[in-house]
Amino acid sequence: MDSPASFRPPRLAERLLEATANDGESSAIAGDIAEEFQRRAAEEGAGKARRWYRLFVLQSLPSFLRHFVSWSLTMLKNYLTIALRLMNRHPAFTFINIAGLAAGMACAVLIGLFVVHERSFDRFHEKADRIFRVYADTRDDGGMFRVAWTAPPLAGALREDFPEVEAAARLSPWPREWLLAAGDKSLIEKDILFADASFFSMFSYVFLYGDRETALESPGTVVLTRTVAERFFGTGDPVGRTLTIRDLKRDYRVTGVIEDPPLNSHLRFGLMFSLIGTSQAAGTRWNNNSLFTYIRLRPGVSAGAFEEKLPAFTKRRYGPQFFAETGKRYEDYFDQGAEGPHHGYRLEPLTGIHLNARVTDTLSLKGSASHLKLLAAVAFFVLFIACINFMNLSTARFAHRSREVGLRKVLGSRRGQLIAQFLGESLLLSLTALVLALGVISLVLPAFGRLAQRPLVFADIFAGGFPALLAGIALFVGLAAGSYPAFFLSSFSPQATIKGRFAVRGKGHALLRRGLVLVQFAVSFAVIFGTGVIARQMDLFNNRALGFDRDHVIVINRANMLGASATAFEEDLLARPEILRVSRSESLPGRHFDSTGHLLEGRPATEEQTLMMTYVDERFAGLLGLPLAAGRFFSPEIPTDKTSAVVINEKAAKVLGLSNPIGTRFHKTFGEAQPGEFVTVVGVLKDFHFDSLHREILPMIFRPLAPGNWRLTSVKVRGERLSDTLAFIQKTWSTYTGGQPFTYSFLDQDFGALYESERRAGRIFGIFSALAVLVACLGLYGLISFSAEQRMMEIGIRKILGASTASLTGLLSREVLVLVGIAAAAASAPALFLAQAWLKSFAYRASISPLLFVSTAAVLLLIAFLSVAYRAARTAAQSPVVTLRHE
Amino acid sequence: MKDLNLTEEMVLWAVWRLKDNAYGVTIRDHIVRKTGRCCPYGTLYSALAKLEKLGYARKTVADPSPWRGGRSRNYYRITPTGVAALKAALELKTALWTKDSVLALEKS
Repeated sequence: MDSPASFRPPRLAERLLEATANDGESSAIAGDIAEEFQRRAAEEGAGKARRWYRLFVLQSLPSFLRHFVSWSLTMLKNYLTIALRLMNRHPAFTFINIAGLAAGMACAVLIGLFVVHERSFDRFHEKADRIFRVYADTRDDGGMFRVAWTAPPLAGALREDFPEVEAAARLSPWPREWLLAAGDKSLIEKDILFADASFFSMFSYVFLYGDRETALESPGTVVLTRTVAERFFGTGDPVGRTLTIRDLKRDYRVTGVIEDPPLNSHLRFGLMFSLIGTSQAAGTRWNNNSLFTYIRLRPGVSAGAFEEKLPAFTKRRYGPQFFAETGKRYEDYFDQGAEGPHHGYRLEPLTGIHLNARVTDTLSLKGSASHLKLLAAVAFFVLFIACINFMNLSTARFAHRSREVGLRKVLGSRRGQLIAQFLGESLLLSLTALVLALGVISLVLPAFGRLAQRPLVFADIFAGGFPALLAGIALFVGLAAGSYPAFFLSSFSPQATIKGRFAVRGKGHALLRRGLVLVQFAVSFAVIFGTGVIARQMDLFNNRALGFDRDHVIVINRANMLGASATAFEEDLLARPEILRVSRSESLPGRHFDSTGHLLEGRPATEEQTLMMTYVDERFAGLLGLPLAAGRFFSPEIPTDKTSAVVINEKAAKVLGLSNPIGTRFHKTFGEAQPGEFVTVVGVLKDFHFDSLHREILPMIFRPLAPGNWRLTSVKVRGERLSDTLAFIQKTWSTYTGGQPFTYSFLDQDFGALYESERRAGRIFGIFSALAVLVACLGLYGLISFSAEQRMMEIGIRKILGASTASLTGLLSREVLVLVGIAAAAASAPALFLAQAWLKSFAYRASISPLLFVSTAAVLLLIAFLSVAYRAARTAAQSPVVTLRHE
Repeated sequence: MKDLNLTEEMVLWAVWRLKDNAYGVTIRDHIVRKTGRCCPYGTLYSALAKLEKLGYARKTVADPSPWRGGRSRNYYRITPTGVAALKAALELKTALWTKDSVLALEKS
């Protein structure tokens, strides 16, 4: 019987046996089976024995498995008990560990949701990948412009000249605010746009009533969104009914109703009127940029290759008109080298419009790719810090358990079991954190959505890559944090582990822990620094001298509705002591300005200069407190000021090369201008920021206001009792307009809205950076607690030998503070680099003073010190009797 | 003293009979040869574990050997309490199976 093994049992069955029967009793059983197999093979032949072996293994499998599972469950129960008991024993530690990781995950998911939303813009359109917006890329003496507004004839010309263009549509994108009426209902509507007939066949809006192809085909038609349609006509089918624009005194026929468009679109509109038949649509001038042009390319057409055909196209189409207007050949003027004048068109993909900041389009709620990157970086960092924390704290906690490891080993745990135990325990913690994070997200998501001004919903978490991402993070962090004790602690002999907590004091471990703390605080430094830079830039936005007085100015929209009673209205207002000044204008700082070419008398047509242009009355400069650099402002006493005077800003004088601009004349291009008529510059205003500080001050011309250009009335009031003043203005308005709706805003708020995107980014950034620091400090607190406990005995001995509480506190916190200091120094350079990259997008930038570095480092050190010192002092203050008994 | 069930009784009996040579293979073999029936190893070993736990048998682990795939043998020896248990089982049987009842069973 005791002969050497000469027969081989079937390979597969043998493996199966080995996999299931590999401990204690089962091993003996497997041995028995092997032995019996050898005997049978010798007695009855190998084939028969092999058949028996297979059958036998299969028969025994269920009972082996039952045995295996029941033992695993028993062990699992034991592991869970131990894990929960340890969590219970150090509740603060456990809380810090789980809450920190949960906060990190929640941050990352919130920002992730936001990023995904921002990137989803306009993707709901079918064929979105083939739709492009054509933008103008031009250069003249005034500078370079990349603007989304293009010439009216562009869309038609593109469709005629290129078979690659499947469809083209134009859109007049200025959102108007008009008083609309249907039947006896009249309401102010804000989101009013105009578009070509092809607009709805190009974009995938869902039609509830009406026909997508023909809806905007004829002049005087309008398509409503469902909300707006219900506001005017109730829930029925309104196609064929009439809607009146009171401001224009024109009737429009409703030809369609679409489902409310998704919010993740760069276009927001409530009403889309037909562009056909408007003067804007009929425009033929190629240097009048006023419409958005969208094209859809045929499948397979490369946008890049198409773009390359556009310069020749522009020359072919615009050339003759240019020659007729200026007497110059297109090629002699344009495209003379990189610095010369340039007139070109390029494409931007529909799905990229929302985040593309290079093309100016003044769309509301425009996204920002750079802010998105910044936020994604912050999200990554917070999560990163949280993960490091989790690993650090878990590692520290596990290190306490070398004795348990030793004991388990003595009792027969194999290494695999220990590894599984520690990894499992770590996973348990990280999964708990995940659940907690989901709870937190569902709670704060609405508030975050409001802050970001985006409709974010919790259900989005279950879409896309989020479930995989979350599970991945939980798994990764859990495994990474558990891997140290799992593989390191379990590798020691039981003797060594039971003897003492040597593993914790190992040099490698301390180095790793220090490294992790260093990284955490370097990241924290960068984040705090970034927040500081954003705050400074916001300060600059809010406090930079804009060159005009924007406080306490109430802006009345649609003021031209006052019509003939305007003067009486203004007299009534000015009769009150709290109302200081009144002025009428077409636009105001912070709002839209048109730009048009202007030509000085005696200059060749090629020297036409694009100037920002607006119409103002003679009280405008007084109301805004605009100082003059030379000459005078419009005056009511001089009759010619009403028709043939203009005022320019300093920048315009500079661009035009005028050293003494007063008295120079422009060709008149407004009002009832005849060829050969001129307007005279009577004054030069000092430069002021009529546009956001993102852009430099542009050359500007002010024309005298005619009734046809009048849109706004500004009222300068005293700061106190504002609501009474407003109520009075509203009452007076109602009296003179016969109850027209009164819509107003405050100039400083209008202007502030230009920085809404930065303000939002700043606040989001601030919140998340605070979180990052908080999480890092939680980690620090946990670590110092741990190290204080480690050094209990040492502290006791030091105390007996005469060390004071203060010196012991210093001893415990010194290492951490040095680490934080090093982290700050190391992070300075990258933080500065990033901040400068961000600031590049502004024409007027906050300076980064060395003080900011110092104060950031000081804040960081203070926070770190506070979180460390408390714990250290508490440990140091303990009586040596307690500390010495500790081990 | 706890009563044995049938499997345990057979196994303990085999361990007793096999003296120094009682381990998985021989026990099974012995039972099969004497009674014509036995059990898979799983059942055999859970019976052995039970006997061991009750203190009726004692296990010793021998050195691993190559023809067993490098696995060791678990030898079992009966203990005095085990012998007592076997006696008790026998007493129970003889109490039940008196000559009268055996005859009666054969007739029915």
